[in-house]
Amino acid sequence: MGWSAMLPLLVILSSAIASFVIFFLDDDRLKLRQTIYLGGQVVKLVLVLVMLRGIYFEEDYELRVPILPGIDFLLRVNELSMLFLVLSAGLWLVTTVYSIGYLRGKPHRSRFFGFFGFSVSATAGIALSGNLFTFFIFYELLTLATYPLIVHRDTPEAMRIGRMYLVYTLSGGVVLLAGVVALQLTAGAVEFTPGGALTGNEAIGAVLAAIFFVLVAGFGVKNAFVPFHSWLPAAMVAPTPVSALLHGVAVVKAGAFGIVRVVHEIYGLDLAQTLGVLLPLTIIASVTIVYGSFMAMFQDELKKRLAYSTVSQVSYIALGISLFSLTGSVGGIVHLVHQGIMKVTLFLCAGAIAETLGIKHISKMGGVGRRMPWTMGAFALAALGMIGLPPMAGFISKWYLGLGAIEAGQPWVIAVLVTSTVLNAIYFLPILYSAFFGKPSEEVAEAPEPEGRFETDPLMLFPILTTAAITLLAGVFAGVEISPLGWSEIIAGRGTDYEPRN
Amino acid sequence: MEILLHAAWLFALLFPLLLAVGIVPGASRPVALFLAPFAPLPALGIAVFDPARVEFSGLLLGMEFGLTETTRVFLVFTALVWLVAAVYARSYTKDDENRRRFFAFFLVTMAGNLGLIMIRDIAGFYLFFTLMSFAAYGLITYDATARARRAARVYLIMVVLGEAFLLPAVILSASVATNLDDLAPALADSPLRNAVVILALVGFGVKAGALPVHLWLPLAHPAAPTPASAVLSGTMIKAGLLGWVLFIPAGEVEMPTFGTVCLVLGIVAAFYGVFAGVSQSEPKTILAYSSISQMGLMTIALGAGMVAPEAWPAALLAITVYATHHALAKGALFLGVGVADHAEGADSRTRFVVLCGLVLAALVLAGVPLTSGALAKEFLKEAGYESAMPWDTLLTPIIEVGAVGTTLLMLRFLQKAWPESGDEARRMPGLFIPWSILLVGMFVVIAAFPEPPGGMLGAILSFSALWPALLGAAIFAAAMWAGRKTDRTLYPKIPEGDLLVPITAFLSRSREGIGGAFATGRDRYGKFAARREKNFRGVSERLDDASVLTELWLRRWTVAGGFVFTLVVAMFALAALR
Repeated sequence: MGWSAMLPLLVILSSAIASFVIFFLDDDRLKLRQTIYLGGQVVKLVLVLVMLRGIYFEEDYELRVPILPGIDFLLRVNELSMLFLVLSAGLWLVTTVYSIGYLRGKPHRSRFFGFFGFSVSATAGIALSGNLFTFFIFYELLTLATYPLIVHRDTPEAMRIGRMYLVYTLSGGVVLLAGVVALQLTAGAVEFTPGGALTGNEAIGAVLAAIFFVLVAGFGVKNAFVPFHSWLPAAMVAPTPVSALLHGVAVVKAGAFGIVRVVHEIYGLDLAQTLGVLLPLTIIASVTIVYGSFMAMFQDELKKRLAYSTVSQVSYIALGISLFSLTGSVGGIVHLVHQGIMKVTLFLCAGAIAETLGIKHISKMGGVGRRMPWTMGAFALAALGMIGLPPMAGFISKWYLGLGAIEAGQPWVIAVLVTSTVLNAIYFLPILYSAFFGKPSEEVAEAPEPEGRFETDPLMLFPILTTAAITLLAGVFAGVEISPLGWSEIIAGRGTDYEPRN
Repeated sequence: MEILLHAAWLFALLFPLLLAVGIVPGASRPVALFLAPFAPLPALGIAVFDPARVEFSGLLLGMEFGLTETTRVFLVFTALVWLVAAVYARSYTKDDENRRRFFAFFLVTMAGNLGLIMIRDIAGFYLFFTLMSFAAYGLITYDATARARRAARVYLIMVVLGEAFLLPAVILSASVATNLDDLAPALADSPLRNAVVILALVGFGVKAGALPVHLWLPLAHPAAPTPASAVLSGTMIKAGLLGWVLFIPAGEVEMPTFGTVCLVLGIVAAFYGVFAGVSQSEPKTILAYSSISQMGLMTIALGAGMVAPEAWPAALLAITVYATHHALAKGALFLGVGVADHAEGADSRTRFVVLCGLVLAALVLAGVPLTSGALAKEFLKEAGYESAMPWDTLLTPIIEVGAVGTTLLMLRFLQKAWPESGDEARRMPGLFIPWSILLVGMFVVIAAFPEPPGGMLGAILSFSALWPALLGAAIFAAAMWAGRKTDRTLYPKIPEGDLLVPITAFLSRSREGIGGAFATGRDRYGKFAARREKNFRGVSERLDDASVLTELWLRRWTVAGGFVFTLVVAMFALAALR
């Protein structure tokens, strides 16, 4: 077994081992824990970057372990894996640094960081899986690893929501398993292949279409399609860094990523179009987009509003994928990354505000912008990006989705995008208005002056500024070849004669 | 050389933005504030030297910069008015503690306004247009008075509304062309043409102050600090106009319906602006309504080109010349309001000089002979002659009667802006000089205009420019004389923002209106959510109990053993079947 076979495994193990060791450390062994943990992260990031370079120069990384005849445990790296992997490794680092500041002096930190790392290992596994079987294993591991994070606060409320989370996601997992088994029975061993692995001759169209919807339904729970979305706003009881990770890269994205894999690398756009399964997916995604944005308007709790916003925004990914157009696919795939960095920024800001000023409700956010200008500035960048205003990352996604909709002959999708834009403006702009121009609320007026040089814990502030900067840079330099957009164009264009627009 | 060229374009764009960022940290603030008035200089240099086009494939979706004949003119007057306003603003905000906030928004808005003229790709145009629109919010709300807040809120709502039309307009446009140069021909043959035209007319119409989406304008332009009002009315309103010119394929194809709509709305706006403006009592509001009226004239030119493609070259020329003339004159008028304010109570010589300046700017806008206004109206009429029936004969009298209205409005403005004598004189260093530069600029610009078909002298000395002004003055004098005799004013009182007042009154008075519906909707939803949450809790508790019971049942070894046994048998059976 060569180096190139071990690399994917090492990527997964680097975070898993570091996390495992942490479990055995006392809560107050701060230095040792941070050294091990951050060490694991740096190792992982280096490995990921080595692999990224390799993939860019078209090397292969593959680890295949036969489990049963016809069923392999398969780790295989391609461009799509790397997109998700880089996102998860990068955001893990950012959220970890943030969590060190956020959890300073709070109990159960070893447990928290341990499961935090496991979640990221599972996410890396999801990114690197080469077939649905392997994907499924990591997908379920992710559910189990995130559960302790959601119930981290140990309150009865948290425990109740934790159960609800398990009911939703494990049911989704069962449906997914049924889909995986059905596909194995009809088509044999199916591996992720750019452009689609199925030929359409494996079974009659109705069977393939049915399997498609079973798979999408399985992924749809984590992807929070309406009506399977209720767990997501409820999961807000988790500590903020967990919410950020859940919304930005781990759980919700795993569902979206699964849908991308199914459409692009199992069925392939052409077969999916022939089977007529794309339009229903477009409609589900559109309904979810509008519904999520609509519900977000009514939330006063900042994190809840952000959660409903996620319900809406993550479906942009499925929307783009479901358009029979490579431009649309680019928009969907790139939104995997763009939504991740923007939403992480928003959540980290919400957490910093709650920790520093004790404000969790939008109605009390008056004047926060004057007390915490950098944090709210970052929040503003990400929020404008969510609305889809240039030059932020969100604009790039929306632009490609819109163009894709025209190419696919579904111009009504533009109306969905416009509706979502307006609703996003309606629920984000008042936050910015009251924070920057509003009358200071009692909480802000009574909040203590910042202790150090910075408006909040620097370990919280710098991750926020980093992701906010990426939100801006990913948009401004979208045309660069190695930008998320450039990478997404490579992904969507594999095996086709797709020419990047620029 | 190539690198220098790229750097020059980028610098023209980034300079205001860098200064805006530089204002934030305390260390670089003095330098940034010192340089802020000169922020439009690089862009002005670009306009003067007209360098070759450049492309930045890595920026956004591949940015392209370049100038055409039309945008070059737009860039010249836009950069000029911004420059003057920025120098003016430095003195205007001298004692203001929020000065840095003003300049931060001012510079970002400036970058957007200049960028949208220099850019040639569609996504980039949308970027700068949006940047300008949203940053201007900070300028309008700057005074933090209740009035400014209301104006800014209305403005923001209208901006978001405009975005809802602009976004699909630009995306549809981008699906047929990436470049603004190829857009018009590509759109002309595209089935998407009508959609783009409608969306662009409304979307850019919000910025251009076109009826009936002008609601924000009479509130926002007066509410902003004076230098900001000058750029709002002088140049940013022209960004909407430029949007129309770029996104509507006039000249490529005949659009009789849309063109007629533009002509009619333009004519209505030209007269309505006068009608509503005359009843205003604040000088800046009068000027804002005058802007609506003047933009109506430019909308007429656009419509004239849309109904008849052969009239488009003349119409485009008229739009360009008129936009230049109006930008400088309206900028001078707005800045003059601030100068007159500060001259209140000064010695009579100062007041006389200020008054002369105001009168001069008002005369230019009214278009009396020897001014750029007379020349610009000539081009407007020229576009009318070229247009289709029946507009070729109708437009000239309409434009001339419109000039009567403008004169009336300007006299009303002078009456209200008149600096009074008083005890306390405020000094106005630094305001007068930029203002006088703009006043001179209004006349210098005549030399740069092309010669109209009737000859330059014929145009600026024509009787058709003189009689509307004289008639307007006569009507005003008669009205003043009549008003002196009776105490009652016969003229209807129109509130600032005209239609907005009944609209908001309707919304707030009726609880069943949108506001009320929203509130009750929120209440109902709250109850619904609480009930659902309760139900959900109940279900999850029952589920919990059920799962515990199930687990206890499963734990019995007979049950578990039975399951295992059945499974094993089933698997063997399956294996045997294969």
